[in-house]
Amino acid sequence: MVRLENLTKEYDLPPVKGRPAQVVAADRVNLQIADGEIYGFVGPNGAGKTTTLKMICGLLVPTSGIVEVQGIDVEHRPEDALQFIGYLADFFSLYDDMKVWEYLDYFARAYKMPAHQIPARVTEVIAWVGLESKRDAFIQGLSRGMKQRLGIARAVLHNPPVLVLDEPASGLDPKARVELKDLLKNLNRDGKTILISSHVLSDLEEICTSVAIMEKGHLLRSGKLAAVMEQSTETAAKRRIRIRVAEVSDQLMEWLSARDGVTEAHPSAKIIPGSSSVDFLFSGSDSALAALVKELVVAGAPVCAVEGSAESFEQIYARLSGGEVM
Amino acid sequence: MNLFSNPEILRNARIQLRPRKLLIAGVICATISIVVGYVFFKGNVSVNGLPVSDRGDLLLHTILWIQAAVLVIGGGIACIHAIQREKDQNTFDFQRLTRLSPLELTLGKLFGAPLMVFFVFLCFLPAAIFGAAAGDASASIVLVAYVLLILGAIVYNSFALVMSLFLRRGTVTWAILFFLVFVGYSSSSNVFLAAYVALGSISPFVAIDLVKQNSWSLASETISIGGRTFHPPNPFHDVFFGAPVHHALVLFILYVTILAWLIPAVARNIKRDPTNYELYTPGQALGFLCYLNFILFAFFVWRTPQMSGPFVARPQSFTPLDIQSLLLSTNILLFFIFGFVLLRNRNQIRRYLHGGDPAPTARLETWPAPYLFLGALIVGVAMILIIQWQRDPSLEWSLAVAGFRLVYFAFWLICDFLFLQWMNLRRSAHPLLMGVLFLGVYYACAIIVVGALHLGSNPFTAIFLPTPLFGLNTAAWSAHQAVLIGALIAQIAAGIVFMLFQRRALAELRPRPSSISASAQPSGVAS
Ligand SMILES: Nc1ncnc2c1ncn2[C@@H]1O[C@H](COP(=O)(O)OP(=O)(O)O)[C@@H](O)[C@H]1O
Ligand SMILES: [Mg+2]
Repeated sequence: MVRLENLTKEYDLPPVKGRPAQVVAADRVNLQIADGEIYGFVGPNGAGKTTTLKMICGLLVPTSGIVEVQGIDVEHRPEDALQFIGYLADFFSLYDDMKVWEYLDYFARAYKMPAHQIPARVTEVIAWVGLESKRDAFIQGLSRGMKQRLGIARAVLHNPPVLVLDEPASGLDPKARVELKDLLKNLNRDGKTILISSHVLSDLEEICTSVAIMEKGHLLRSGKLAAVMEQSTETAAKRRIRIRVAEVSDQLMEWLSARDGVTEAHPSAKIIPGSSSVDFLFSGSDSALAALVKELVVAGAPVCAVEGSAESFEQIYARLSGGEVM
Repeated sequence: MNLFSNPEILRNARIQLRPRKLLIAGVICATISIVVGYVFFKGNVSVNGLPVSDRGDLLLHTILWIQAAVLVIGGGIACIHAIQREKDQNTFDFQRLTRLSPLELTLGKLFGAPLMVFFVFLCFLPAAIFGAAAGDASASIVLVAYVLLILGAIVYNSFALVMSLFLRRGTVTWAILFFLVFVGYSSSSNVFLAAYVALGSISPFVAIDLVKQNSWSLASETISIGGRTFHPPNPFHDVFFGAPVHHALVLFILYVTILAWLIPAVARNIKRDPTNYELYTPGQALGFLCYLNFILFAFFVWRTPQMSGPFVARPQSFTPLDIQSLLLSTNILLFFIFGFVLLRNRNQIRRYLHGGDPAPTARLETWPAPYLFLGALIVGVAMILIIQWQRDPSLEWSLAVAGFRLVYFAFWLICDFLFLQWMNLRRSAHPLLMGVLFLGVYYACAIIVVGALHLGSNPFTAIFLPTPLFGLNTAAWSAHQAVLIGALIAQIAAGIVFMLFQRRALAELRPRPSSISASAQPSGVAS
């Protein structure tokens, strides 16, 4: 388990136009991350994700607050806590002039794994990230995706129960992203707790069990993915409704816009050729919606289907963060 | 702890000692050795007619010099890069996260980074052995010289590693230049220092001089220039509290003890957050100051040191008061090292202020004055006691003057460091650098003005500069007591002003109530 208590980090920024400034990159962040979760940290650039993750690993000392990993205080007993953490930084490099196996061998030794287990473990991890053919290659010659996988291989090498991955998907092509997701799901299935940050929301929505939404150092929302989304829907007075019709006409749009409780009516983008639909925001109960649909049919609109489209994570996020989506 | 099983050394070995690189380095070293050997043995203008043994010695000295340069300079540069480059390339954090103990990581860097340098050193060994065999160098001396050379190189490399720890992006070139100057400076003889400290050079290059001298004798040579004879001091004749000791022994002990200060300093920081580095705790820093002063006191020529030799026209003797002044002025450098170790940055202060039980405000506001005062008290009183006990009663001495000088010295330093500490808490890109620059400009201007107007020993100058204090004697003291005490009060007043500035800087770093209300806003949704 990872526990953050009132975690705060203040930075000094280099002076801009003569006026120096301070920034609170993490402001009294409280979180409890249970074992076995894939916990996503979402937020725009500069939200404080990297800062928070680095404090969890003990790479940065917090200005105040406590981090505990598996019940061990990271700041005061780093040597004990670090065996439980595998970390991958957002920007990192590997030793270019080492071979892939040498690199992993070095970290296996540095993590004090028993010497007789090291060669087997290195081979295992290399196979697991799919770099068998590059075992004896110099790191210099690897592609970005391969380097990323080697970085993950290093992070899981000593079999830590907690993995901290900072923007692992950034800079990867779509294929490599899919591979990464599979890798993470496998790891999670093996019982690893994964803390992952990203500003690309779709990455997280698919694999995370929980999320923490950060902005300007504040934790806006946190908890199970479903709960966070539900909470947000509750707080929202309006629901998004989509009506599929045989054909969208100006009349229909006018008629809809004139109804009570309907706002932002607009023809939705054509997803499936030959089918049209109208999106709008509706505020009111289900019976009010039923009444509206009935009136619509009576008025002669060619209604095929009515869908209460769920708000996507991305939309919720956009609303929470005041539109600052990446 | 087995050095050879250190993963960091293994990593460096794998990177640096690939067969191709070894081959190239080996061939280059062999070529140089052969060329040098050929020049000395197959005749050349300057060595024609020399007996074989002298040629062997020449070869040994030359190779030894190359080895020393490779170990000290090459190793130093490798160590300057050792930590800094990893930070630059974002690989260092991963090392900090491993379970390597801080000491293992430090030793891994210290002995791992210069592995290629060590290999080159070994490649030159055959030529050196050949030279030693052909010449008439004593085996024991060559052996001791090598021990000193290697140990000394490790000391200099550790110093480079300390620098590497603190380097920021884009400062490596300056660091290397500084290191080269430091090597050059510490390897050249300092006539002024030699006059009152009976301690030979601490440079590893001394090993070459030892081989050249080729004897354990401490007797000094006799040189005659223009009919006059001189006895230039034997560079290996050290005097430890009055007893003659061979410099090789002193150097060995010095190297070992300095390493005992440098390596733990790196080890206690290497795995920390760089914004939270602290070379030594205040107590350890005080210990280091005392250690340096112990060396100074141990080798100081307490009884009327004399400036003599071919460069000094008239032997000049010092009174006990002059001795105190000499020791205090040497201590300016030592106290500046001490003071800089004590300084704290914004990040550290912020942590104190945000922490559960913040240190008493008074201690933060007056920092680092208490430790400087304590240091001055310990060093100064020890100094006065030794002078009191050693002095020649016929020469001028006054406890009042010595005491006043010490108090002034302490408050002058405290004032400077309260200024630097305040500057270090200001918000700017390089706060400490600015502070040092301002201080440097102030002293440069003050010294120029005082020098131009010949006010160096005018008591009023003491308000701005400590120069009058260094030449102070009983007569001047009784004549200008009021002015001098006024100058001391001026130092204290300036210190208080900087303390008030520091208080303001501290107020800004306290946790702000605004950030509390801001975090309370997004309700209790965050679990
Ligand atoms: N070393 C640093 N010095 C000063 N400010 C920093 C430093 N690192 C990050 N910051 C600032 O802290 C804030 C949070 O940064 P970061 O944690 O990197 O955000 P994220 O990873 O979410 O993009 C930003 O405003 C950034 O400018
Ligand atoms: Mg980031």
